[in-house]
Amino acid sequence: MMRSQVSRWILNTLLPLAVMVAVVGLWQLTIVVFDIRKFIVPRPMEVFEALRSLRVELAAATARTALAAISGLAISTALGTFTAFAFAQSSLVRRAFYPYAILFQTVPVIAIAPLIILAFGRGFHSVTLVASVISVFPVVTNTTTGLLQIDNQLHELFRLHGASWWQTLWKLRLPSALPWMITGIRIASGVAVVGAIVGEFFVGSSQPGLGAWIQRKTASADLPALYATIIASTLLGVVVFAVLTWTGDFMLRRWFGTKLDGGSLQR
Amino acid sequence: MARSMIESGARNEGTQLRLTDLCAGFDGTDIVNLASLQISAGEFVSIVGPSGCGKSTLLRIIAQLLEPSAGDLDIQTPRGRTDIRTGFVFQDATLLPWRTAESNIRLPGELEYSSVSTSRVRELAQLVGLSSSDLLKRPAALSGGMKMRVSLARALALEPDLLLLDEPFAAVDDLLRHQLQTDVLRIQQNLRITTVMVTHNVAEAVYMSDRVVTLGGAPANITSETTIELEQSADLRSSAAFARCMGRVMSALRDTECG
Repeated sequence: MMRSQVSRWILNTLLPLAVMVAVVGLWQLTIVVFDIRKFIVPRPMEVFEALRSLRVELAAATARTALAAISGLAISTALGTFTAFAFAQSSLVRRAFYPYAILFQTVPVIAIAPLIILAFGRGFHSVTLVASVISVFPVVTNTTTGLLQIDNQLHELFRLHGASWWQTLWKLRLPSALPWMITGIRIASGVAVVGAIVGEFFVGSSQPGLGAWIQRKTASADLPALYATIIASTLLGVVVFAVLTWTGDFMLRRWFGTKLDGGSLQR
Repeated sequence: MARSMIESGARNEGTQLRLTDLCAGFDGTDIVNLASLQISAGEFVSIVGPSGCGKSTLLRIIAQLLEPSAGDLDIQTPRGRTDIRTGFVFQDATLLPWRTAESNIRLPGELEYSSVSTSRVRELAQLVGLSSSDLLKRPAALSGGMKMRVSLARALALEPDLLLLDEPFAAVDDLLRHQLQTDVLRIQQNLRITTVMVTHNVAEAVYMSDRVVTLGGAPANITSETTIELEQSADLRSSAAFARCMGRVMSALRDTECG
């Protein structure tokens, strides 16, 4: 049993690593075979060199973007949860606004970002706003679903004992919705990072995060630095998502005494 | 089942029920149209009938979870008509998964602002067969049978006037079901609590009840009533008398149709 666990761990770690090595090898090979110029696709070594030499500046830019994304996520979590409560409480409000909550999710961030920046000006606050505007919807839809998906018999139990509106909310709806809410925030986290980077793309040097870097390095055709920035952006997204997933898992474990997948509560 | 018959009037400490010309349903369509049903103090009555014929609806009217559209539901408790306390055991254990067993048992008290003391929780745990270590576990760590015991303890926590069971053993295996039936019956007889159980299991109804009522038709009405007078014994389920009682209920059910 121990052996199979170890070998599974080795497989799970080594296989993706092998794929990465293969992709980098293929990258290098393609450049050599087709004689691709440096200003079209940089060599892997050049990108690694850029990552190494720019690490301090890149880390600072990543931190700036991370702050904007996390601030945006915090706003969308608060706002999204509040909206979801309104939706869960009144079917009239839900009927009126819920279709738009779903519709707005499909509007591309790249189209909204310039409008927001035009209205609110350049700077950190606008980037945060872009991040929150596009990440609010996963929180709204998931939390609303969670608040409404209450086990019917549990609801009857609360009614049987004359539970007040407040008691039902606090002791039944809110804890039942928690796994859904966490799922919503997890999805929102990835979107918030994308939103922050796209926002920075438009505000330029007033918020010198990863988005501004991408824009600047594209303009100066500094391909190794551009590739390095893309890698940093990806890592930021992965780290934010992983931290939230881990925190959410930990909370649910503490809360329910067991790991839960998705929103399933009982049985 | 086996118990001295309820001497009407002689023992008035329990809750009595009288349902008269009761109509209830959803969206204007009557599901239940009950002419008359009386349940005496301390009696165990089972309601059997085809699936979807309105058994659960009837139970929810008695629990006052559902408002009848017409007719009269009269519940006489020893403490007077107001403030009827109902213990309800659902088909699934219906526990809050984030709470421990003990905390689940305390829930009705919290909701009704009358706290259930620690000694009361211990007493309930002993009554339904939960150990003190079970009390600290969350539902996910408890077996199906243990979850049902927690659910039962919760229903009894506030010393209800009336115990309502909605197919409580439908989700457990045969062996466990027999054990739970025996335990619930023992508790019901000890507490002398008026009990109404909905089930589709005729053997269960005959084994546990003083009286089995069949429900059928659309809207549903009572189609037969069978008083069960069996002597309690270890091999009751395999006795000829038990089989005769089952046969009577079964034949009543066979004539019953559901709309």
